Amino acid sequence: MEQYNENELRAFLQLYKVNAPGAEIVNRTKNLMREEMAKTFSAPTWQGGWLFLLVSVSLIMSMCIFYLLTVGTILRLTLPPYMFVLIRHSILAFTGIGACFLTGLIIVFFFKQFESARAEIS
Amino acid sequence: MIHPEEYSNRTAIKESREHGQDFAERLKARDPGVIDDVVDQYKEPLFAFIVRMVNNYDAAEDIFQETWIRVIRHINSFRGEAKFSTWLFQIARNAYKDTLRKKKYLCYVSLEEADELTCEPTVDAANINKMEHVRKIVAGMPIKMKEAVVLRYYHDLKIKEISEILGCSAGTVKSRISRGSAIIRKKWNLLEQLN
Repeated sequence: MEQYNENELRAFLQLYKVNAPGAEIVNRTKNLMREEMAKTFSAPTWQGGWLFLLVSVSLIMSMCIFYLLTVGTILRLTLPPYMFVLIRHSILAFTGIGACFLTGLIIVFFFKQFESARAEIS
Repeated sequence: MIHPEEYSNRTAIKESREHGQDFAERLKARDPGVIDDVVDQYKEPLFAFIVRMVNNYDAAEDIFQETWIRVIRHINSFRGEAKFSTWLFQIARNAYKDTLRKKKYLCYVSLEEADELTCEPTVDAANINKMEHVRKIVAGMPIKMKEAVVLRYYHDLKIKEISEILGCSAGTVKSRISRGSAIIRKKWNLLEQLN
């Protein structure tokens, strides 16, 4: 292969110049980055939210079991058999109310974190 | 002949490791003020790299945006072992490779076509100016050689840094630069003969 000077090659290639990115595209990129930063900012706090969710579900299950073993057992001993279905329904209702309450708490918690992140970015 | 000292070399990357590390730390800390600083610092070399690789301004703008969004998304994976600019160029490379895979209108030349390109240059010295010739020569290069040549001669990166960006050994980088330079040299000689 023919020997050549690297600086000459470099100088030749430098003839191909590229314009800098326009101000519009740079500003648009920066805005997109800010939006992305706001989105990812809420992600770590949401990971804490998973722990909160897990603890809450465990709490509801514990309460249901406690209810079943105490109040439920007493009711089973005292109520006639045709009324056992009410015990089962009461547990389901108890769980449903607890789940709705916790879902509300989680939504409020998530949006509060998201809102504070957005406020900090803008 | 232009003396090397006279280059208007806006696209060379001048970054200390501490400076890039500082940007990375601020991005990880979600400091909103860092966005202006980091984009302004790297926008010219990054955009020039992408334009030279895809040879299409519209596509380059999309890839430029995509690169910066990926930086925000994946900043926690930056461990500081390499320079921030090296990591940034790796992301840009992945972004334009994804685009090249998806869009057929962009110029993509495989390594196997390299010999054919060296024998049949498409430059037309009579009608197009010299800058256009260089652009065509660079655009017509096989992508793997073009990456190595562009990073070496336009961005003044060291072989080690190029190998980190391209994910290959220093020997492979040297080989690609050598083969790429040979292609350019052949086309350049042909251009001089035509003039």
